[in-house]
Amino acid sequence: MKDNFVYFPGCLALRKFPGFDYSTRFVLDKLEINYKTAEDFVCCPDPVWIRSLSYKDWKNIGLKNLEKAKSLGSTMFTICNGCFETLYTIKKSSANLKSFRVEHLIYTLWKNKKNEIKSKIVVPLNGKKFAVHEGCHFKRPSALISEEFGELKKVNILKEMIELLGTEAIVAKDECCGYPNSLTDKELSYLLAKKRIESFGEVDGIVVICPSCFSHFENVLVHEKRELPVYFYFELLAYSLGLDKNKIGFEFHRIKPLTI
Amino acid sequence: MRLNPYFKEEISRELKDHSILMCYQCGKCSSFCPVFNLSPEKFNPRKLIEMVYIGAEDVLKTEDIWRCTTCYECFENCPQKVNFVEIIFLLRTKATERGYAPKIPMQELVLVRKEGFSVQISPRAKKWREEVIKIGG
Ligand code: SF4
Ligand code: SF4
Repeated sequence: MKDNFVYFPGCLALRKFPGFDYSTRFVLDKLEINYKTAEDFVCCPDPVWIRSLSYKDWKNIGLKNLEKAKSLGSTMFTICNGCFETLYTIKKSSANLKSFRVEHLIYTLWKNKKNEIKSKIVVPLNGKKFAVHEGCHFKRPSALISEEFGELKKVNILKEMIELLGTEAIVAKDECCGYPNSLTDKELSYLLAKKRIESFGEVDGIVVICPSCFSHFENVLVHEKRELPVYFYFELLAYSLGLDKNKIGFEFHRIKPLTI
Repeated sequence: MRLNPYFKEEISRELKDHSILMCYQCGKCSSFCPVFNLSPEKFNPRKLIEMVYIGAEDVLKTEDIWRCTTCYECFENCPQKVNFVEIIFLLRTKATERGYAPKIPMQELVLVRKEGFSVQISPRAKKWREEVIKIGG
């Protein structure tokens, strides 16, 4: 891996779920991925609401993050579908960012580090059955994403990455978690999430790669009084690679992760 | 409802790919839309395009345009490659300019403009970063 990586943590992983950020940094160190990051990165911003309300703000703020990242390296990775969509979409429309890459970290690891992860696992998650939810903004719109990530159409990366840790993966047809609607029609957003959760059947947990999907699934499950844990993939990966359970940040989950 | 005969052209002009003009109202977008399938009376993407076609500018005042989750299921399945999500973004931006944006998303925009972030830092998260993992801020 010759790229000079730049890590973009995003709002939720720094401000609401700090364990997401810490687990990610632990994984990067364990896998010996050198990276830089910037203290003054701001919100990506959100590809649904900020883009809806003010295209100008969305694009200008996104460009500032991208220019800062470009001054630090050649490939930027995010740990959030929303950050990925915003930064990738804006990059695609900017002539002077043509050679700069934007990826979701799950893709970076899937492409380059599968074997290394396998050989470095110290705590396998054998015997667990996890539903995988990649989320809409990771691989859509495919007309745009396929230009650089054609494989995403054919493979469920998250399935492969969770199976690396020794778990069984349950994949249901891609569907929305309903998060965006939680800001404008809560009832509808809860119905969408419930439908999605039902589609997984009986599982030990739901694994996601987007803090917004995470937060929405948890809120709905708490509302439904269901003790089904939701995991952010990089937490589980960090755990399998040996991160002390007390440093994963599980206390920020609303549903305690009882199954590991 | 007063119709604006220029509304369709206005929307088409402002959409970079003008794809709205390619819509032949087959309804495939709606049949794949998870929101329509749960609640057809609240949200119907095909119908929203029809409203733009006939010049029903008041569509900007409706709650419907704020119910799309931007999951792209419609665009993925449209035989005419109409990117309905771009249409929704444009309708929402226009609605915002006219003062019809819903309150909660607007608060997010205000926060991003003021602090650079769409969520406020939780004191618990700050404390955990400082005390458990010993990263400042
Ligand atoms: S699927 Fe495409 S062509 Fe058919 S109604 Fe929807 S937008 Fe129009
Ligand atoms: S992007 Fe919006 S209109 Fe299209 S399928 Fe998803 S919710 Fe429905």
